[in-house]
Amino acid sequence: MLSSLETAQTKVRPITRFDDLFERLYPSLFGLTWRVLDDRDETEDVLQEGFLKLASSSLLDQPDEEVAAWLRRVCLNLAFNRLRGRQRAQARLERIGRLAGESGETDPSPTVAVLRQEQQAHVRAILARLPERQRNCLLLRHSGHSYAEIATTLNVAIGSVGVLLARAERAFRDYYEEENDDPSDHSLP
Amino acid sequence: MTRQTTRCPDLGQWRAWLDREAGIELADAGLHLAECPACRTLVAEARSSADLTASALAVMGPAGLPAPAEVSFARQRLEASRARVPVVPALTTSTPAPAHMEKPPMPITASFSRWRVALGGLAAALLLSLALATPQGGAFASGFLGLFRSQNFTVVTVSTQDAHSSLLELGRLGTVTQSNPEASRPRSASSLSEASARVGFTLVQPDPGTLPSGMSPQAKINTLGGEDITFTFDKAKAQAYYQSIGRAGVSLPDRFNGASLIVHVPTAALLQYAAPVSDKASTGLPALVVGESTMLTVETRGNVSLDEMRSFLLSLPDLPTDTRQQLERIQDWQNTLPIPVPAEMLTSQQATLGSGQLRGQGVILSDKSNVGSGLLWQANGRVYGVAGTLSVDQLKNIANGLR
Repeated sequence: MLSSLETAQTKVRPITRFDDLFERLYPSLFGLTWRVLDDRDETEDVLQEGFLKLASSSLLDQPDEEVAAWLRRVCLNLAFNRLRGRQRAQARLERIGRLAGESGETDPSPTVAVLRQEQQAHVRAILARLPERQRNCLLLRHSGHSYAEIATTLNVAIGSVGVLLARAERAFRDYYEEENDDPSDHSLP
Repeated sequence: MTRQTTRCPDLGQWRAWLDREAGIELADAGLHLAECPACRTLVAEARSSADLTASALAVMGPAGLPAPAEVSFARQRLEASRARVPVVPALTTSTPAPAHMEKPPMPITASFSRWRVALGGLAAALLLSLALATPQGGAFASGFLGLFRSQNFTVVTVSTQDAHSSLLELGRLGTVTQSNPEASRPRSASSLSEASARVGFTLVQPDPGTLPSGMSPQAKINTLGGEDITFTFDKAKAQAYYQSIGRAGVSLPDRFNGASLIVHVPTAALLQYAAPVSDKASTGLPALVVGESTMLTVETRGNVSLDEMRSFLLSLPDLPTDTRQQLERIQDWQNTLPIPVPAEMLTSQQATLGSGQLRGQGVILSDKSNVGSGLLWQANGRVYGVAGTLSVDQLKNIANGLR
């Protein structure tokens, strides 16, 4: 009956430009936002909010690449706003642990999961120490975006992306090596 | 940058060169590096930092990007949040979406957690079923693929990627019309008897004793009208489509031109039960949905038989081979409704469900994250569905208690 009911429930709705953008951009925005939040529900909420902002904006008249860049900026901002609203990383890790326990998930290798969480917290803490533009540049590049996409998202010339990225990676590396000397400090700002 | 060039590329140019992005020809770069120790050091450092960063950030990515069915649900959820209509996966009763996005945004509903997790699997799968069975998303595929009388169900495993197969989007091969688009708008009923009168048969409801502790036995009742959905094959349109995807040689017999496949969608009723008040994760969305309808039937119009239409549609080129083979293996195809199930999200199992006069053959679908489950079966000319954020055993118990 599911199929029959579902057939009955669904209306013919023209494919709009918004639908098309949603379908094409949602997966990559999901990957980008996830890297900030590491949480499916929160990532989905941010994307919903981002697309709602788009729906109420006049941006739909703009070229695809500009809409995409705008959405990337909005989602990154929303994600970092959420992150800043959270408690310290350690509290978050504890919460994740509790939720996993409540949901009855049984990780076959809890040690690996814990290590991964620690690594993520470590990386997140380093990213939080970088200037916003460097941090976003790293997230964009390492979630697979091209230099052209990074340039439009960060509102910089495409010729500046290389140096911005190189400096961001250098700063990340410096902090990474510094934090490896003091691995206990994984807190968020 | 050549052997004659004395000016060194800057850090940004070298970084772009490492990414093969732009700016420096590879051969020239090699020549320059061979003769410039300063640049060699710069590039080595940039490469080292890039590698370390890439390695560190690799742990931050999701296990996978959303599948098309999940994106589709996210899109529906967006509409629902704008219209303040909760979307319940599977047996949902969402308000039809507006054709464009002109309204101001609504606040985001805070926590959909449990349902949303279910969406990753069960609901996404069922939405895929929906996509496969609707004019726009793909219509009707389940219609022509054999649901001539949905007396039986069989699971056909598909990849979510298959949802975009042209065969599953019949609008590309002809026209799809609905006799009564308003039928998809749910109508509230004040009682089971009122709903029964609308759907034309006596509806059943769960035994309150089988409901989870704390769940109110008071259901919100909606009915959906029946309608006919007609697909009419258009040879010229299909030819143009296949040409556009580089398959101009597809054989499209003349006599199929103008032939129609008509799916008679039955009326149906949905009983929705809210989560127990004590359930802190509850968002007010139904935790249990019971659906009932009569059989879905299909017929053809024109110079082709149902069997010919089925064979023809199954012969079209971009139906995934595995899906085609599974469909061809259904022997009693005239009485069997294939349920498309994305195997990566759901487990499925054939089973006999219900009890007494409502006992019949059907399918159990379980979300792989163990958050949601659904039962679907037929008995005595009716189709029954029980789905929710409950375990299969709980749902079976509820199904057995339908009276």
